[in-house]
Amino acid sequence: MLGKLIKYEWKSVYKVGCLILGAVALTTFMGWLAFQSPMWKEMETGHSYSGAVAGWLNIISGLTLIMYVILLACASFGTLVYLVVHFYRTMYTDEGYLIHTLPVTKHQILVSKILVGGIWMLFVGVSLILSAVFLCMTMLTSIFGHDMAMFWKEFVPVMDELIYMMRVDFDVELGVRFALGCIKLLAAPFITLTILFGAVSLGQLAGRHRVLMAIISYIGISIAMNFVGSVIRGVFAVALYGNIGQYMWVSMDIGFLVDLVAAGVLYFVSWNVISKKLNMV
Amino acid sequence: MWNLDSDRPIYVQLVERLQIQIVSGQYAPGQKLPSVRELAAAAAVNPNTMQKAFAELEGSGLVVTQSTSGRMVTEDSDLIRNTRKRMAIQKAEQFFSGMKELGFAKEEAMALLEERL
Amino acid sequence: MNELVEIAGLTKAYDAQHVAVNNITLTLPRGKIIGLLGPNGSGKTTLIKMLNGLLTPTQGTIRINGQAVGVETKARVAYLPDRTYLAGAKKVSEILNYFCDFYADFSRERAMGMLQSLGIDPGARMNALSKGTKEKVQLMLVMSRDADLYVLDEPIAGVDPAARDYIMRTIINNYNPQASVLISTHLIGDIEQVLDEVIFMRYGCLLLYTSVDNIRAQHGKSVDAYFREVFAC
Repeated sequence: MLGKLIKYEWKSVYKVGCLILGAVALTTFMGWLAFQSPMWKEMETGHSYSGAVAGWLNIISGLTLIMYVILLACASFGTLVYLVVHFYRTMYTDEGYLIHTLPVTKHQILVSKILVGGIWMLFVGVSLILSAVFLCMTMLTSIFGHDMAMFWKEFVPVMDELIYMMRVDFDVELGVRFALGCIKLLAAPFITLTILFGAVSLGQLAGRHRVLMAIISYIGISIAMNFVGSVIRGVFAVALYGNIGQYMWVSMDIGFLVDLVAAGVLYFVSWNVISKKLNMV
Repeated sequence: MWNLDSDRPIYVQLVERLQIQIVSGQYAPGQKLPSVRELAAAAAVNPNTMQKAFAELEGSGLVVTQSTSGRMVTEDSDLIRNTRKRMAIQKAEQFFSGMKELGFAKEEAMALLEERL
Repeated sequence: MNELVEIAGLTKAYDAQHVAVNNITLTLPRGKIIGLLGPNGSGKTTLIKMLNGLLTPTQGTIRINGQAVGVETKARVAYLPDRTYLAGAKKVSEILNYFCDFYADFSRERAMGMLQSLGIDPGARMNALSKGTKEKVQLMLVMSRDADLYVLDEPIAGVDPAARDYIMRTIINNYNPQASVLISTHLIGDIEQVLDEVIFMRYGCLLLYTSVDNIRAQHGKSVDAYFREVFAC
């Protein structure tokens, strides 16, 4: 049954997901166009292209880049909002009458929603990273023109130095850090969704104004998570006094662990609400 | 859909209706009857109610059940004739008692009947 | 075999002032078509939603086939809600696939046959259909299952008389001695002939649970007329 739930959940969100991916691709293309403006050439050559046309081009180019940043921010935020609204709509409005009368367990329902939603957030996240990398490369190519080889010649030693500094001066095991970073990145969408779904479910415990209660719940959860994180960080700050590098990493790990625990708790909250306290309007 | 009165038990009305259909020859002696479900759908009534009506008809012997071929009208033509007569008498009595209510003596009622023919 | 539905001491209180269902104890047998009757706000829909696990009882228990409401009972109960609950963007055929996938007792042939006789195009999207047609689609989905208990919440309120007759015929044709149908309605006259038994509810309480023929024999009037008398304002 879980497989079927995942199949239908996928079917019901993939269209919007593809739309957002398409928007990211289109926005990236616009960004690429912006870098074709002569403005960027001037940075390298110092030669000024005069004329009204070039001036307008530069303004449009600049605006397009601003739009790029805004649109990409909207893409990730929009995906998140869409998934949360979709969850609310299919679980707690009239459409919820369908899912809650299926002969499936409440765990299966939750897992299918978190899994499919998380995967789409991951898709969008990866597409944003790819887009940003692509645009950075485009920018560099625009500025340096055909001298990219020279850029790499300078870039690689700088990176080497940076890695060396991290390892020796800050005592960082880069392999472990990289692996951890990847895990966090992969887990983040699922954690975020689980927490948000939990907040939506908490709102259902209220008699009325359930959406408002969901938002208040989320604010409460965020405050609680920050508070707990700060307290633990405070303890470590005392313990690791003077070792800024290590503290920085530990602090990041604490943030992740708090998120993870919160997600676990809120998963249970959602499950509890829909299996023991469900009251569909 | 059969027109049924709303103030009398439905199965009683179904029994009457089926009796009429049998004694009037709509269902011939020995003829197989439609299933309870079919008749219930035709009459737009609950199958359990139709079942109850059939049970009543079986009790009176008008309908017999054969395990192989379902229900059929009895082949006992005397029984059918007697039932028919009994129902006719009932109708006649209803007519006369109705006329009596209107103040008709038996002879007057008879005369009226003759006249209407 | 145990009774189909056993309800004991069932209560649903939204808050201290609003007790929608008040201490109902009721046993529903198999093989019956049962009317759940009562004026608006008498707790019919609340009772039905608890039978389907959409509302959590404040007190009391429900057992269907001897089991508490859960995955097993949902596989055996076919429920028609009193509202449109199918996403508008979906095609009728997609919804058919959905039901086919999740309910082992769903018969695709029966569903297609009903769509055809109702003149509904399987390729149509839900939001392109009229309100009455949407209701027909939902009813078609429910009646295409071979469930133990059919729970129909106001199935005939929004459809035309011809469709109403069709619905009645469908319920009769679908009759199965192992299964029962619970129909909530306030249009009693229209369905009275197909009912075996009636449940009267008032202010969340169980007022009466008896057979239709009993009411007719005892009171010499139709259930509809008797209902009007009992609930006269």
